[in-house]
Amino acid sequence: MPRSSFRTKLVLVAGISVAAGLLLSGGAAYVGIQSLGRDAGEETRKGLRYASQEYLRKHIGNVAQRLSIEVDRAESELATLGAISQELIDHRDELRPVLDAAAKAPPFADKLVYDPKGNWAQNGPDEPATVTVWGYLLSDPAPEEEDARAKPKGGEAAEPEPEPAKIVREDVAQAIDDTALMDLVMPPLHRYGANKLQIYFVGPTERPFARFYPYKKLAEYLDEGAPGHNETMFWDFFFPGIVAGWQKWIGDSARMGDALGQITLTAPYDDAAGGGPIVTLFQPLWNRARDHFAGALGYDLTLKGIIDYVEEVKLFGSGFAFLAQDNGNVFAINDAGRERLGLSTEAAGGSGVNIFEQYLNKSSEPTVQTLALPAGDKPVFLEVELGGHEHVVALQRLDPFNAWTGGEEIHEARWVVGFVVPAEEIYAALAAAEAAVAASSNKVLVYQVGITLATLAVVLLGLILVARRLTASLVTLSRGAKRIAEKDYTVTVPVETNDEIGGLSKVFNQMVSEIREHTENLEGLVKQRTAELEDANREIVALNDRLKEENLRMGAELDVARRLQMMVLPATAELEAVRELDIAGFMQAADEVGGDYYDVLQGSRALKLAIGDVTGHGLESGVLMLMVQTAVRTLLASDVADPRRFLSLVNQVICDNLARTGVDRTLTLSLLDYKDGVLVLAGQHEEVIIVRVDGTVERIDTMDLGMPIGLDPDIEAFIDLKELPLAVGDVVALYTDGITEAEDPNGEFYGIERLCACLERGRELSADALRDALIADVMAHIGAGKLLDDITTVILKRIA
Amino acid sequence: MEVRDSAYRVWFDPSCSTVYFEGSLRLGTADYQPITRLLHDVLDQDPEYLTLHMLELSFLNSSGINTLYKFAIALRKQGRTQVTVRGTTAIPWQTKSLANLKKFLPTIEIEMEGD
Repeated sequence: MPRSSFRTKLVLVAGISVAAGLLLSGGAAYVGIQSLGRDAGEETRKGLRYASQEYLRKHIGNVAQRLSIEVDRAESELATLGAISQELIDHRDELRPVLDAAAKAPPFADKLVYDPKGNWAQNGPDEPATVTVWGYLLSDPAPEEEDARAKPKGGEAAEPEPEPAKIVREDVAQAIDDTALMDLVMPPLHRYGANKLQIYFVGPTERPFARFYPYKKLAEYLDEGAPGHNETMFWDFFFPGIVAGWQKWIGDSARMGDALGQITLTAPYDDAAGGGPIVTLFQPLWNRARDHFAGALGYDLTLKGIIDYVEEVKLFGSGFAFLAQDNGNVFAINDAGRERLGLSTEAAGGSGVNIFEQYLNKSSEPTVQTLALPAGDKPVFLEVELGGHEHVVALQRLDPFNAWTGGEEIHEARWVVGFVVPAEEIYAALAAAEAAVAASSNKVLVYQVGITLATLAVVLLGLILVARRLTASLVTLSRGAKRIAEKDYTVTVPVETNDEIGGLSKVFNQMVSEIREHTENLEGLVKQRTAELEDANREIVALNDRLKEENLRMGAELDVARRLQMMVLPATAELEAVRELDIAGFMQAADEVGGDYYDVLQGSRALKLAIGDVTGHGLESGVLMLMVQTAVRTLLASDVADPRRFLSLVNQVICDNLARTGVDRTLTLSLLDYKDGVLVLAGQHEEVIIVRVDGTVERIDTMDLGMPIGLDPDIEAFIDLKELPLAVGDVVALYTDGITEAEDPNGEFYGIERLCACLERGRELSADALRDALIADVMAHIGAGKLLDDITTVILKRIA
Repeated sequence: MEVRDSAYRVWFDPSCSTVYFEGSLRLGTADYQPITRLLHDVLDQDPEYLTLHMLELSFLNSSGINTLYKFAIALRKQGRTQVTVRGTTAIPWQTKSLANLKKFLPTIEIEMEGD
C-alpha cells in the first residue's frame, strides 16, 4: 500500500538519522569522558610517582646520612685514639721517662699473671683494661732470675707447680709498658661518643698482645669461643690477610699521610664475647719510618642502634628498609622484610669472626636475586615484583670506606640502604581515583544509553504521529482529486492544519468550488443575478415613491410659508390709500421661503412703515414674521405713540414668544412713522437710502438706532430715533440684504453703490416704476446666478 | 476644537485663546449648532481673555450673526472673560453687524482694521 510505504520510509529515514546522531553524540561523550578519565589518571599517576619518589628520595637520603654519621662518628673517635697512639710510637724515645713512669704508676701499671691452664698471661680485673699476652709470646723463665712481673700471685704460688711459670718475652713486656698510657685515653673515649662494645690495641705481628678496654676476662672468653687461638698468631687467626693488606700501602705517601683514610671496617659479625652484632673498625699504626706495621687499634662498633633504626623505618603501609654490604649481604632488616625479600641466614663459618650472611642473590625471589645495586651516589628506583605484587625499590649508597672481607685485600666498599614499598600502597590514591573515574564513566554510559533510547522513542513517536497526519491529509486530498476525476464536484477536503498541506487543501477546495460554479451552477447564477436586479429595481421604485411623498410634503410646507408671507403683505389698495406718499412694495422669495417682512399700516397718528429680515428660512421664519406683523398691528391698534417704546414692546413680545416656542430665530427690524413730511426712523436694519429731488443720495445708517430683535428682552436703551424730513419728490428706499447681497455668477454682490445709482437714475419715476427698474437691475446683476435670499424693497416717494 | 467644511473653518487655538473664523458661512439656523457648541466649550474653560478673529471670514449670514449675538449675551451673563473681536471694514457684513456686539456685551473690544 503506497500510504504505509511512504509513511514507513519517512519514519525510517528520520528515525535512522536521529538515532545515528544520538548514538554518535553519545559515543563521543562516552569516549570523551573515558579519555578524560584516562588523562586524569595518567596525570595523577605521574604526580603520585613524582611525589612518592621525591618522598622516598628524601627519606632514603636522610636514612643514609644518619647511618653514615653513625659510622663517621666512630671513625673520628678511633682516629683520635689512633693519632694519640701513633704519637706515642713516633716519639717513644723522647717520651721514654714519661712512658717508664707511667708504666710504674699504680693506675697504669699492668701486673700480668701467667695462667698455666690456658698458657697465657693476663692482668687482674682490678685494672681498667685487660692486657693479655698469648702463649706464643711467653718464654720459659731463667732459673737464676726471677721476673717480678711474671711471678704468680700469692694463692697460686702456694700450689705445687707441675710446670714452671712462663714469663712474658722481654720485647713484649717493653711494648706493654710503652702502651700503658692508653689506659688513660681509652676509658673516656669508650664512655662518650658512639655506642661501642670495646676498644683495644693489638700489637704487631711479632708481638700481638692485646690491650682491651673495658676489662674483660678476654683470654677465658676466647679460649671458650675461639679454641686454638692461643696457638696461632692473633692476626692470622682472627683476621687472616688483613695485615698483609695494610702493608701494601707502605710507600704510598698519600695513603700513609692520611690516618683517617686508613681506617678499615670488617664485615658485620656477631661478637664472639656475646656483645651482639658489631662491626670492627681498625686503625693500623706504623713505626716512625712508616715502613713497618706497629699494631692496630680496634673499635667494635655496636650495630644494634643502626640495625634497630633501619628495622624501624616505616614506609607507607608495609614498606620496609634494609641495609646491605655492597656484596648484597643484608645485615639489617626486619623479619617481615626478610620474608618479603626471601632471604635466609647462612651460618657463618670458616673464618675467625662469625660474619652472618644473608645474600640478596641467594633470595628465593628471582627478582631479588638479580637486583642490581647502584653504582653512583644518587638513589636508584626500581620496580620489582615480589610475591606477585609490584614493589618500588629505592637504593642509596652510603659513604665509602675501606673494607676487609677476608684475604689480603683492603678494598673500597659502600653499604647500601634500600627501601621496599608495595606499589599499590604508593598508588592507593591513584587506584581510588581510577576506580571513581571508571564508576562515573560507567554511570555516564548508562545515562547516555538511557537518554538515547528515551529520545529515540519520543522522536519516533512524534515522527509516526506527524507522518500519520501528513499522509492522512495527502490521502484525503488524493481521494478528493479522484472524485473530481469522476466528475463529482461536491467534494471538499477538510482543512486541518496551517501548513503547506493545509494551504494545498484550501486551494483545492477553492478550485473545486470554482469548477462547481462553472459547471453546475451557471443557470442558478443567472437566476440570482436577475433576482438581485429585480430587488434593486423594486427598491428604487419604492424610494422614488417615498421621494415623491417627501417632495409633496416639503412643497406643502413651502406653499404654506409662502402663502403666509404673501398673506401678511399689504394689499395694493392699502398702499394706494396713503395720499401723501407714493408707495410701491416688492418681495420675491428665494427657492426656500425666507423671512423678509415689510408692512405699511395706517395708524391713528401716523403712517407706520416696517421692514425686517428674519434670520433663516422656512416655516419657522415665516411664523416669526407673522408674529412680528401681529405685534406691530396690535401695538398700532393699542395706540402706542412713542416709536422707541413701540419697538421695545415688539422686541419684548417676540422675545417672549421665541422663548415659549423654542424657535431659534431673530430679526432685524426698522419701523418708520410718517407724518407731515417727516419720517421718524427707529430700529436697526439696512441703511435707508434717500434720493433727494435734486439727485442727492443720502444713506442713513441705522446701526445706532437699535439692535436685533428677539435676543434681549430689554433693548429700549439702545433704541434711537432719527427724523428725516422729506420734500416732495424725495424718494426713500427700504430694502433687505437680499438686494445688496445679490450675487452675480462670479459671486460679486450687487452692493449699495449700484442700488444708490439705480435709485438716483430713476428718481423721477413713479414708485412702481422705480421699483420695477430696481428689480430689473438686480435681476440683471444676478443674471444666470442663483437667487440666494429673499429680495424685498419698499419705495416711497413724497408726492404731496 | 474645530468645525470645518469645504467653504469655511472655525477653530480654537488655546495657545493664544483665539477662535478663528475663516471662509464663508451660509448655514441654516440649526446648522450653526456645532459652532455654537465650540464657542460654549471655550466659554466653559472660563478663559481670562478671548479673541474672536474674523479677519478671514468673508461672509456670515444672518443666522450666523444671530449665533454671534447669542454668544455675546452668554458672555455678558458669564461676566469674566475679556473679549476682543478683530474684524475689518473691508468686509461689508462686519461693519454692519460687529458693532451690535457692543450692545449685547458692553465690555467687548472691537478692533476694526481699515478704520
